[in-house]
Parts: sequence; structure tokens; C-alpha cells
Amino acid sequence: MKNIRFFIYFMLIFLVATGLFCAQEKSIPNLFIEADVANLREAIEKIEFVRLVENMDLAQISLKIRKHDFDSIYYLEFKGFGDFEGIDDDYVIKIKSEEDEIQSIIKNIEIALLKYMSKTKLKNNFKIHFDKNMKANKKQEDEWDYWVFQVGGSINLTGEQTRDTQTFSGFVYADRITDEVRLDINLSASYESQNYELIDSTITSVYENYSHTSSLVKSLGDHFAYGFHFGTTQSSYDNLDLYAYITPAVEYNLFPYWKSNHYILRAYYRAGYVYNNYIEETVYNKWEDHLAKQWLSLAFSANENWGTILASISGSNYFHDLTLYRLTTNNSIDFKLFGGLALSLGFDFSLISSQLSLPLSEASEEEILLGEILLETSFDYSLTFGFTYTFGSDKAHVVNPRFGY
Amino acid sequence: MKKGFLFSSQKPIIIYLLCLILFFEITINAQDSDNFTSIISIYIDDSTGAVDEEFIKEKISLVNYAIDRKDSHVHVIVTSLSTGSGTEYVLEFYGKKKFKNIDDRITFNIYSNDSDDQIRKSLVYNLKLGLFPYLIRTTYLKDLSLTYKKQNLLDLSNDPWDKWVFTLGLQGSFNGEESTNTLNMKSTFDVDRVTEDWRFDLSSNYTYNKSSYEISSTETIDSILDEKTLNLTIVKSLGQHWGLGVNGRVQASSYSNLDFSSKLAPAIEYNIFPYSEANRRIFRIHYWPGFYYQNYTEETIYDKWSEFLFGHYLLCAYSMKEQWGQIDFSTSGFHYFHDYEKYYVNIANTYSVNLFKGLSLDLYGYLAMIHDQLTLPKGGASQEEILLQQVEIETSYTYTISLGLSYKFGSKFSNIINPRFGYY
Repeated sequence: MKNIRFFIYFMLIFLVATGLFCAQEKSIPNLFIEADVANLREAIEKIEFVRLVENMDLAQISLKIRKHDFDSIYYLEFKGFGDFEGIDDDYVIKIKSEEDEIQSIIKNIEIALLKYMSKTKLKNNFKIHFDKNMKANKKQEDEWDYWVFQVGGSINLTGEQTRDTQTFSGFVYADRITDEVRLDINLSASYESQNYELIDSTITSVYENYSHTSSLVKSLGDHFAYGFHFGTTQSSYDNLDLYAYITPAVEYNLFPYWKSNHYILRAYYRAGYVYNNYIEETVYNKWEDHLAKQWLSLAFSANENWGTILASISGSNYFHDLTLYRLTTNNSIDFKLFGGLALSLGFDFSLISSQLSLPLSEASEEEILLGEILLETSFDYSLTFGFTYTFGSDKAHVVNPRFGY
Repeated sequence: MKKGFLFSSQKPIIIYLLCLILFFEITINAQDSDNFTSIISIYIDDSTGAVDEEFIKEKISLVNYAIDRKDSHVHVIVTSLSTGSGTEYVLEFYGKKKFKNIDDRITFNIYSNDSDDQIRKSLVYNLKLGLFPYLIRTTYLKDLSLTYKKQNLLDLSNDPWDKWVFTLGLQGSFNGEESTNTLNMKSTFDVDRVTEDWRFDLSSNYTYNKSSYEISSTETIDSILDEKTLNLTIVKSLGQHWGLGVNGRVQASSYSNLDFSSKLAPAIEYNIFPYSEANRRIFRIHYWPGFYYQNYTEETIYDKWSEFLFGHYLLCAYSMKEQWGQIDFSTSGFHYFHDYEKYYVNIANTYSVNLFKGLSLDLYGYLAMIHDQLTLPKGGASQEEILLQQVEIETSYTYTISLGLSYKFGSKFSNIINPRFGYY
């Protein structure tokens, strides 16, 4: 009984090993070398992802190695054949005196061979490690002192016989991002006019938004930050001729900030002064307001192999009347489950009792249908779901661009 | 007995052997070479939208990221094309300045439901592979290490599904506030099989959108959009320049007043450039004659409830992507044989050009002359339908012109990520 079991184990291992070996063997490229340097051949034979061949005709890669007579300078000349046709490369390698000459040159050859390996099925079998602490920006002369500016604008005109739309927009961004301080200044303007020709009239709808936001953030280690926000906005949708604010802010992130591409869990608080000047008189019979307001939010995000999660809850209120508040939660998950099953869910909800800018006059039918103006509400919500199941071949990697898509 | 069969006393030996086979690794530490001592600047020119720049900057921090392509040592063009099971990405590396003529091309595949994180990781991995030929010529090679892992490489020729891929999808959203709400539902079913010789492409979808607007306490306006489509395209490749195929479509659409419509059209295409260069340039001439049967929900302005039609279509389209930018141009025309006056022609142009030093220009123009609106309902459209754009409206032309200009300048060393305060 024991013998049978042993035999089956042996066969299993043998099958797995030969299977893997055969699969590997097919993809391993043949290398032909021509070298006038002793001991190099044995060392190259040890490179696992190429197979050394004696015959130039069998080779997919040929490598000519020459060494300068007096110092440790090597010339490597790579040439590709067959699938690698046209991939040729030359290198000059200078080995430092303190280094093991053979070992160094082998390392260089291995890296140079990557250019060929990246075209084979073995290309995903490498682990490449770039030293994270090696920052390119260190020790650099920078005449702009990390400032980056961007200016842009666009015009968009569309139309047909009975309706047309004109959109104009422009922006100016300036930012300076260093590990210690981040400064962002954004200016943006947009103007949109839509015209609809109806049976007996023409409806024109205009949407305007001009805004400026600035923020200054100072880092306090890997978890804390503090700073200021300052901004002004003019918005026809919100009935605001001018909305201005200046608020200091603090933030704490449970995860170190350098993990932000993967995980964030932050608590963020700001409080300050807000000024509103209304285009039309509001339902509160006001033309302007000077107010003190605070905001608090908790947000979590994760971005991993299995998908993404975003979840946040935030609230704001005015100090002069605590019943004027807004509570919002935004949540979304996007899961890549097993097999080809993907699932996404989203849930947003707000409780609103702070529509200070709501105009006194009622919105017209056209304004409602065109979504042109803020409407009275005590809540808003959005629920989304998506489900995708893909099955079938996982080897269908062919591109066939005929007839477009 | 059976339970202990594979995992009994021999377990450590098996695991040990498997580990030995699967994870036999060699570690290599890269070496200095004195050729180039300043930092490499790369410019990533992405036309796929998949590039997560912050993630790349975090993972590959030993190069600099140029904001102007002319400041770079390596210009990387990222393009993509669809495959049966997902997307093929192409990274094309162009060496400049000291690296002139050191070019490379790396491709990799992504499955249609890979996560964003898997996509960005694959992109970083392949970007690293492609940067080696440049880094080997610098002093920064000492900061790199390379490990080769002999691992389970499966035989790709064994495909029980024979390249058939099936996708089922269902999406929905429901949003609203006190006086308005919207429901959107969409379900899809796609079957694809893409090989070098053939392409089979079946896609079907059902879209249902409903919006309600409370105009006053007594009046509510409801708007419904209901669309069903089943589309099948089969393409046979004829060498690197020709394709032959057939397209069939069945459709019902509340937008276009179609209760039922069907189309059958054989088609032929010629591409001046080989299809293997399609990610960078394509110039195709595409022609099909088609038979239609249409059944209308409402009587049309031509007093029809249903009709058989015969028409033909010609398209000429050119696209190219180069280091300086991208150009797309296309023009197409169609007419019905029963009445030559029933036709449309259109022309579309896109120029997206990186002029100099961070200045980029985007120009888009589209013009269509439309004289084939056979489906327009006799009753016309109500004011609500016009404002909500839920039905097709009579027109003899449509146009779009857009112009965008953007200028980016400043520090060449904008590599730092500082995510504090995020999106407040």
C-alpha cells in the first residue's frame, strides 16, 4: 500500500515538474555567445532564463563580448533573430576595481537580456525592485522652486436646426508641492447658454459659474496636517452672486500619508467665516449673510487587488442657528469577486436643512426640466449598483481591429 | 484513508519539493556603470486614460517626470486596443538626447474585469521592464534589483473555451430629491470571439430610464427612454489590409420612434496601413450595402407605419498617434436607394497637438447634413420632450466645434506626491 502511495506521489511530482519544465522550455530563448574572455561561459550558463546554444543558427539572441586589454572595460553587442529580429543593442560596461569582474558582467548581461525577455511569456516571472528611498528630485537645481502653472481655455459650440448650446470655459492652476508644504491655487470660469426653439417661443437657459479656491497645507509628520482654505464663487445655479470663505483646517490620517495610494482613513475638520451675497432675494428674505460655519468629515478609501472602497460621512452646520445643517454620506464599493464576477454598489444620502440661498421666487417649468436652478428639498439620494459576470476563455488576448469597434 | 491520501506524513516533503520547483530563485543585484550620471526624465504620453500618475510616481521614484516632452530622455507612448477578453496595452519607448535610437515596445494584457489596482500594477511592472535598457546606462542601476522566479507557467495553447468570452452585466441607479427623481437601468449580454482570422461580436443591451419632475402640487411630468438593441458583427480577416464581414441588428427605440427595426448588411474594409499598426495609425475605407425593415410606434411624417428600405454606406477614416500628438479624421455618407434625396453626410476632425514647451492644442470639428430622418413621428414633439432631449427632433444639420488650449510650465521636478487634505 505504502509503495503504491509513494509511486503516485512520485508520478505526481514528476508530472508537475515535467509539465512546468516543458512549458518553461518552450519559452526560454536560445543564446549564442562569442567571447574572448575566459570563465565567462560557465557563468552565463547559470542564467536560468536563457539557454546557451553552440550553433549560431539555433540562436534567437547572439551576444558578442569583447574586453579592453588593459582595463576592465567590456563591450557587449546583442543581436536578435527570429521573434527578436531588429532588437539589437550595444553596451559599454566599466567594472570598478573593487568589484568581482565576472559577477558584475553577468549582472549586466542579465539586465540587458530583459529587453528580449520582455517580449516572451516568461516576462512576468521577474521581480523588479526599485529602491524607494532613491528620489529623483533630491539634490536637483530647480529654477522654478517646485512651482507648476497651467493655463487653459476652451470653446464648445454645438447645434442643430432648432436647438444649440455654447460653452466657454477657462482655468488657471498654480501649485507648489513639496513633502512639507502644498499650495494650490485654482481659478476657473464657465459659461453655458442653451437655446431651444419651441412651437411658439424660444427658451434660453444660462448657466454661469466663476470660482477661485486656494489652499495651503502644512505637513506634520506622517499622520497630521493643518492649513487654510480660502475661496470665492459666483454661481447662477445656487443663486449666489458671491460666496466667500476663509477657514483654517486640520486633518488626521490613521494610515501614514505615503500609503495613500492604497489606504486612507482621515478625520478632517474646518471652521471659519462664510459670506453669501444672493442674486435674488431668498426664502429667508435675505440679500446677504455673514455667517460662521463648521465642517467635520470622516473618510475611508482602499484600493487593492480585489477592488476599491470609498466611504465617507460628513456634516456641516452654522453657528448662529444649529438647526441649519447638512449631513451627507457617500459610499461606494467595487469588488472583483471570484471567477469573472464583479460587483459595484454605491449609496449617497444627504439630509439638508441649510438651503440658505434658495430663491424666494418659484422655479419655472423650464428651469426644473433643464436642471438649471437649485430646488427646495430636505434630502437627496443616489443608489447605484452594477454587476458583471464574464466567463469563457482567459486566453483570448488577440487583437483584431478590422471594422473598428 | 482517502482523506489522508495526499496530505499525510509525506506532506513536508511534497511541499518542500514543490517549493523547490516553483520558487527556485536567483537574486541579482544590479551594477554601476559610469556612462550617464544625471537623472533620467521620462514623459508619459497616455491616450488610454488608464495611467495613474501618482501611483507610478510612488513606485518608480528614481526617474523624473517631465511636464514637457522635449525635456525628457524617454518618451513613453501608451496606447491600447480591445481583445476578446479585455485590453492589450502597448508601451512604446523612444530614447532621446543621450539615448537616441534606443527604442522599445512592450505589450501586456488586462482582463476586462481586472481591478484598477491590478491594471496600475501591471502598468508599473511593464514600465520598469522598459526602463531597464536606459537605466543600465546610468549610475542609478545600483538602486535596482532583479529576481527571476521559475514558476508555474501554464501552457497557453490549452483553452477549453476556444477563445469564446461571455459577459453578462446589469447596472442600475436611482436618485432623487423631494421634487424630482430618476431611475436608470441597463442590462447587457455580450459574446466575443477574437482570433487573427475571425472576429465574432454579439452585443445586446436593454436600457430603461425614467425621470419624474414635480412642476407644481398638481402637475408632474414623467419622461421615459426605452431602448433595446441586439447587434451581431462577424468579420473575416483577409491578410493585413482587408476585412470582410456582415452586420445584423435588431432594435427598438422610444427615442427614434422605432417599435421594431432590423438591418442586415454585408461589409468590406480596406486599410492602407497593416492592421498590426492599428494602435498607432489606421486609414480605412469601409463600405456596406444594407437592407432594413422598420416598424414605427407612431405614424411618421411620411405617413408610414412600416417600410422595407435599401441603402448603402461609405466611410473613410484616418487616425494617427505620434510623439507630437494625435490626428483623427473621418467622413462618411449614406443614402437610401428608393429616394436619393434621403441621405446624410458627415465629417469629423480631431487634432490634439503638443505644440511646444507644455503648450497643447485640441481642436474638434463635426458637421453632418441630415436628410434621412424617416422615423420622425407625425405628431411632433412636446415642449417637455424637446427640453429633456428624449426624442429625435427634425433637423437638416448638426454641428460641434470645440477648441481647447492649455499651457503648462514651471518646475521640471514635480515628482512629489502630497495627499494631505485630499479632496476636501
